[in-house]
Amino acid sequence: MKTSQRPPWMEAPTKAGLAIKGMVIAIVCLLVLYPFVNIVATSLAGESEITRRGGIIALFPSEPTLAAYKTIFAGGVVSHALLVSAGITIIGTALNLVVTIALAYGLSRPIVGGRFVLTAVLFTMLFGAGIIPNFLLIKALGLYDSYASLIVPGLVSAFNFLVLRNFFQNIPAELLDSARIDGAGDLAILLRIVLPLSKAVLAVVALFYAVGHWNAFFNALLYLSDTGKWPLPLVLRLYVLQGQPVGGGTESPGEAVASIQAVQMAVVVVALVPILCVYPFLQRYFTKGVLTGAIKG
Amino acid sequence: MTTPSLSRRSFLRSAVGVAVMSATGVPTLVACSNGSTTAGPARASTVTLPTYVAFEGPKPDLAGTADGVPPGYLTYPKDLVTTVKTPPLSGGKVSVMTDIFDPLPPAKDKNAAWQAVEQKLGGTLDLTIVPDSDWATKFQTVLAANELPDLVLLSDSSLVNNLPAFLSAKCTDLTPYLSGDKVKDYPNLANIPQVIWQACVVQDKIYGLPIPRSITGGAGFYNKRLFDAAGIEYPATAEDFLAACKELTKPQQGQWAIVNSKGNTFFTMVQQMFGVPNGWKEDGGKLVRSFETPEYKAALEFAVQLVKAGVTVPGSDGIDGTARKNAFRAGKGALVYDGFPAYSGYVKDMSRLDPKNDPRAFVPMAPKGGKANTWSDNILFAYTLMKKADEARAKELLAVANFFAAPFGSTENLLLTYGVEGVDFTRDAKGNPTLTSKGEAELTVPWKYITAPPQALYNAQFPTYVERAHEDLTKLIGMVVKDPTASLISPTNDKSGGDIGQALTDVRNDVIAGRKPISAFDTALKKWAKDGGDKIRGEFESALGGASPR
Repeated sequence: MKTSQRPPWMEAPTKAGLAIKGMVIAIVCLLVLYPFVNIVATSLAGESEITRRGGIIALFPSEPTLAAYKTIFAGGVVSHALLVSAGITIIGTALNLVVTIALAYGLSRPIVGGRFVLTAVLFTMLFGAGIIPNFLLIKALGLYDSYASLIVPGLVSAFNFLVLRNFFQNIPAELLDSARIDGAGDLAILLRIVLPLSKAVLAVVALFYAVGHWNAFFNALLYLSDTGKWPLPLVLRLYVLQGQPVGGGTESPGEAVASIQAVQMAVVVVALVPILCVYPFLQRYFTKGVLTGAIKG
Repeated sequence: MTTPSLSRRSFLRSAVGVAVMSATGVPTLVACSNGSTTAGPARASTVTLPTYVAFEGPKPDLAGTADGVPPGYLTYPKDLVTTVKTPPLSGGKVSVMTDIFDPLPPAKDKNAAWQAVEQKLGGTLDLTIVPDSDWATKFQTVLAANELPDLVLLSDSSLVNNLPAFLSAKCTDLTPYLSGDKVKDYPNLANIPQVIWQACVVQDKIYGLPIPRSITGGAGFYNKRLFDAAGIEYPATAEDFLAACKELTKPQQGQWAIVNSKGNTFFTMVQQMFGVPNGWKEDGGKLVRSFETPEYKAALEFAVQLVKAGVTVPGSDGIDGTARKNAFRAGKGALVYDGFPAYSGYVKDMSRLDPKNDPRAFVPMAPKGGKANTWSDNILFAYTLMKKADEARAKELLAVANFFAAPFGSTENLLLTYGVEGVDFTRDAKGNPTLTSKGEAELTVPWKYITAPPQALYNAQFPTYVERAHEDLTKLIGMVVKDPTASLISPTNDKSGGDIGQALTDVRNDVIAGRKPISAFDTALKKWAKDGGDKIRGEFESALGGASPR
């Protein structure tokens, strides 16, 4: 056997090595995908099949039916909640970005009082107020039972702010200076120079915010009393509750013909799919953005 | 199995409890029972319960009793009675916070039934609907922030630390409005039997507006189809029961006798067969906890015997409630423990899967020379509290409660159960109302968890179910034993009763599964008594004897 001049990691991969790697990756993929397939298959199965097969359908239901989805979307409550969640996600994320970008850009350059503001923001990362003081604050601000109660309390996330600020700090000062010589003001520099350079990290931060809004559950539970304003997770939660035994027995067996498991799995699909659709479009920014923060921090 | 020593719920409870007490200005009392056991006869309650005046509505096909056996109707009555002549509100608003177990109903502006109810109420019904699983969080937040609505469900009294102090500081004492003949101002509340009102009393005052249930949760169900197929008669004694279980077990056909589930739920059936007391047993002022009795020991030995004989569905001691239901529906097991309210669901679902299925209520049979019982473990779903209100407002809110307690056979009950005719329901040839798909969605508004009438049995689809359930409940309620501590308070029990009880239950489950010998249970029992069990006993005994527990 001829000894190679190159170090081992630059060798052309052997066939066996490739095959093993391929197999390992395939197994990992299957492990990740299998539960998803379970969920989709169960959501499409009929009652008798689920009862017969003991709850979970492995791959394909023998008689696929959309009964579970029909049950969920009957009455228009879930579709309304979808709209509410989409609205909160879009408006909330936009506001989050505006405020977080403004704060991060402002604090990325030395300014008077910057240190104090920075400390104040970081402080919230370490110490939360707790459920009851927050509830009282929301009530006192008149935000109780309004959509704003889901958006305003989390307007700036200290973590996302830090990611952005670090990124902004690493943009060369010379670039900004030359823009200034060309006559650009702070706003123009932010909009024309800084933001176009930060697309990757912005995509990441936007995704973090958007997922947070899409999953809004706890604040909605505490701050919203009018069920017409409930976002999707809260509404879907009730389908998962159905059929659970209460005290002396099942409190409400429900009238749905679709099996409870099918409905529960359909709920998972409904909650998951929209955010899953957005992810591939952001993914190429995503890895880049996270890495940026990691190295240049 | 291990239990975390501090659950999220108990953590919240302790945190909120302190907040409540400081918010309400109640001094933080140290639980002041000294544990001295002054034995004495049970104290006669000084409160006069509301006088029972039965609803004079449509005549039932099967009569109810004052013990709580509900009346049965084979078809929907035609001669409905209107019980609320004048709207309880005059344009005002009532805010209510309650539980929901169903999918969310459409909002008020799109909900014909909700609008019709408001019209009958003569005002706005402002409902805060909370998913049951998140009740504790929301309730405790609202409580600690001192933002109670007019009416609020108390779904779990252990969510409040120092319940009596909370009630007297924040809630309306309803005794002056409901005690004795006063209740006659609210005829639908007067139609609730005294055995149910008794469960709404805390420290000799009526605080709760009840949501009645069927007194006992029963002892489970059996599928008569499987008994018939195996040629087995309904067993008369526990010994026959064991033999029957062995015959019902046919592993090669995928069939076993008993469907178990997490926490050994089937053990409830066994305990009732052996006549284990309901929580506590009182004898001349002395209390004995159910699991300290020889009956319990015998039941435990019997359960071990059943598991050893292999008559439980393999692996079913780890499944959840839904999987348990599925296994029973699919005929994997012939017997299951589940609460009595699940009966009609089983009848409906199982006949859809196989018309020959025949689920029946399990009536426990005693071992030779023993006495079986059932427990009064389902008197109420829960009760609703009224925020402190002046006399005029309290009377107005009671009239609202009276509306929601309209009994089966009244026009109000038709509206609350089936909504608006033509929109939410239509009638079949016999006049039985059937929900439309719009009605099914709209009628999940949880007003049945504000206050409710005593239960009635009615099922147009399966009239035989009504006859059977009536017969079964008559038997089960006839065997019922009460928990002598039901309306008493032990601060130690509220605080740590759950945790030390769980530790004991874990050992019990290990014993049933054969992981530990029966002697391990005796050791655990001693530990229970030492860790607080004896203190709880002392507190209950002094409450029973008449001394105030706090």
